[in-house]
Parts: sequence; structure tokens; C-alpha cells
Amino acid sequence: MLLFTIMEDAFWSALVSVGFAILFQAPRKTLFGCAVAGGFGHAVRRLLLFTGMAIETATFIGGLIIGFWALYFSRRYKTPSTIFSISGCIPMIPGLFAYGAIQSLINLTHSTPDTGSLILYESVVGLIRTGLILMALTLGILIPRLVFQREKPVV
Amino acid sequence: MHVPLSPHEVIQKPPLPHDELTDVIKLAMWAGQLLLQYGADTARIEETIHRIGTALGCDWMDIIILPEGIIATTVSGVEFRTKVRRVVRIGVNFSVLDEVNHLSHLIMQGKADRVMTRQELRRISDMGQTYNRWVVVLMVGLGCGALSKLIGGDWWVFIVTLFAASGAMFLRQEMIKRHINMMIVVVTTSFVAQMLASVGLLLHLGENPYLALAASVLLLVPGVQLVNSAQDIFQGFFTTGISRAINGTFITLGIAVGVVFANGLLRLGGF
Repeated sequence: MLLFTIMEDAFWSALVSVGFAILFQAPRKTLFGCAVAGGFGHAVRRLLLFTGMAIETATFIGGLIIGFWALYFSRRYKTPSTIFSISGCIPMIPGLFAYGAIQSLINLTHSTPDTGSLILYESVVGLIRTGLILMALTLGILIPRLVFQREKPVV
Repeated sequence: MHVPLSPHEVIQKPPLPHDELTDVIKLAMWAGQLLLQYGADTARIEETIHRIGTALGCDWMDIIILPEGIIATTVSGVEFRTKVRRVVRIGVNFSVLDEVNHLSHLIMQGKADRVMTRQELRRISDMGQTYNRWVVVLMVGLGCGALSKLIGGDWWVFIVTLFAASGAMFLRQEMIKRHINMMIVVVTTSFVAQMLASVGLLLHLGENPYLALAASVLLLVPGVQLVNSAQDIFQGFFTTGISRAINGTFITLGIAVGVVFANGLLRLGGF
């Protein structure tokens, strides 16, 4: 059952990555790599969330996996690794948290001091969580590249 | 590999005549302009310009990448030339990045001279879009639909998101074609995506129709700007990094403004 959930997760996140790769006009030869990077990263995150890990840490590890796949495909297809890492990280963008936080912030404008504290709490937590997940994701996909793709500085 | 890494190697190169130096700086900056226009990170732009310039025969290049243009000086023997190239942001096109990357490797291996480089750059500049616009509309719709499945939507939510995101993407393409201001495009697209996705809410389709509202605006997510911005700042290119971060933040705020407008109209937030 868990395996099925993970496989389903990988399928949908691979579809998200390919959709956005096409939006960014990625070359046809790279689409498979984008799907693999995005699918793997998100499926691993889902698996780690099942074990009870915090979403920020799980996102960071998922991002690392995307970053390593991006390096591998970048060497295999001789193309910039950014193509794979940016397309691959889209499924992990915390859209729902951001949306919820904005919704709470709007509701704050017509709240009373009694109801307001709860709404304020919700929106601030949502914003902080969105920011932390985004930062973890960006760090995750950049670290493999910054550590393992050091070329001789030419400039 | 003709990248000069030591002063000894630099001295061995024959000095280029003035007109050839002009040609080299033009070609190198043309490649840089394409990269900056279509969403490359700053380190890649700087390296590509430097490699093309030195591989085509000049001794050294000093390059400054700004968010709105490139300034570069090329040196050969005692001669030097400096040029400013204004770059207007057009959008993201990873196929151009791939082609310029390939071309720069050809030049470095000595397989492309100045004539061939010019022909190739002309071809890449005129390349246009890799995918048919309807393919993009469908795939962006499917991508956002898949995102709605990932955040826990059912098949109704998937269908509504597919419909809303495709419609919004079509509108976005039409507006970009008419050269409408970038921020207005973002706010309008976000607003229209919300209105289209609210169909599921009004008709009570599926378990949690709110998920379609959240997933349908994600086609506007400034992923390229934010990732590039972080990478630029990590690598010490603060000017472009900060400028890209502000660009990404404003796009995010634009999405939020569209959402707020739509919520007010739909009385979701209780205005």
C-alpha cells in the first residue's frame, strides 16, 4: 500500500516537472531527466514524511536528491544542470502553505481582537513555514552543484 | 582548450588586429546576451563570455554582468576594446541555454571559428519556441492538475485545475504576445485562474474544491528567478542576485494580489 502511494506520488510529481519543463521550453532530450529528477525527489520526501520527519528536513533531502540527479543528467546530456534542477524542484514548492497563509492574512483585515490572534498565528506560521521550505529546497538543489561541479575558475 | 590560465600562456598568443578584436567582443557578448535574456545564472554567463572570447583569440576579458545589461572589455596584446550591451528581459527558454552551451564547447575545442560562431548565434537567436503553444497550454494544465493531486485533490479537483490552469496559460500567452507589462500579466493571470477554478467551488464538485484554487495559480510560480537569485548570491554576484530576488518577490506578490481580488469577488475572504 505504501509502495503504491509512493509510486503514485512519483508519477504525479514527474508529470508536474515535465509540464513546467515544457513551460520553460526545455530541449526535448532533457524531458526524461526532468521527470526522473522531479519524481525521485518528491517521492523520497513523501517517504520521509511517512517516517515522521519534519517537512523542512524532508524537503532539504528531496532537494539534495534532485540536485544529484541534475548533475548526473547534466553530464550525460552535456547541458546546463539548471534545466533539471529547476524543473525538478517545482513539485516541492509549498504552494498550499503559501495559499493558506495569504488567505489567513486577508481574513485578518476584518477580524476582532478576539478572533484575530488565532488568524494572526495561522498566517504567520504559514508564512514562516513557506519561507523555510523554500530555503531548504533551494539549498538542497544548489549544494550538489556548488560542491561537486567546481571547475577551474576562468575569470 | 585555449583558455589561458597562466600569464605564460597569455604571452604566447599572437595579438589580434583591431577589427578582429571588435568581432570577438561582439560575438562573445551576443552569446552572453542570449544567456542573460533567457534565464541563465550569472556565473554561467560570465564563464561563457570569457571562454568564447579567449578561445576566439583574445588574451583576457573583464566582464561585469548587470541585471539590465553586460559590460565587457577584451584585451589582446596592447589593444583593448570595451562594449556595453543592453539586455531586455524576454523570458525563460532553456533550449537557448542548451544551444549556447553546446556552441561555447565547440568554440573551446577549436571546432568553430568566428564565421561559424556568427552563423550559429544567428540561428539560435531566431530559433523561437521549442514547443507549439497549444502543447504548452495542455502540459501546463496537466502539470497544475498533477500538483492538485499531490496536495491531496480528487479527480474532480484535477479536472477543474486542468481547465483553470490551461485557460489562464492561454490568456498569459495572449497577453505576452501583445507586450503587456509583466506585472499586469501576473495579476490578471492569477485572477483569471482563480475565477476559473472557482467553478468547482460554486458547483460543489469533489471533496475539497479549495485545492483547485490553490493549485491553479502555481503556473505563475517564479521558480527560475528565485533559484537563480539564490545561486547568484551564493556565488557572490550580489547585484543580479538581489535584482532577481526582488523580481521573484514581486511576481509572488502579484499572484497574491490576483488571489485577493478573486476572493473579494467570490466572497471567500468575507470582504
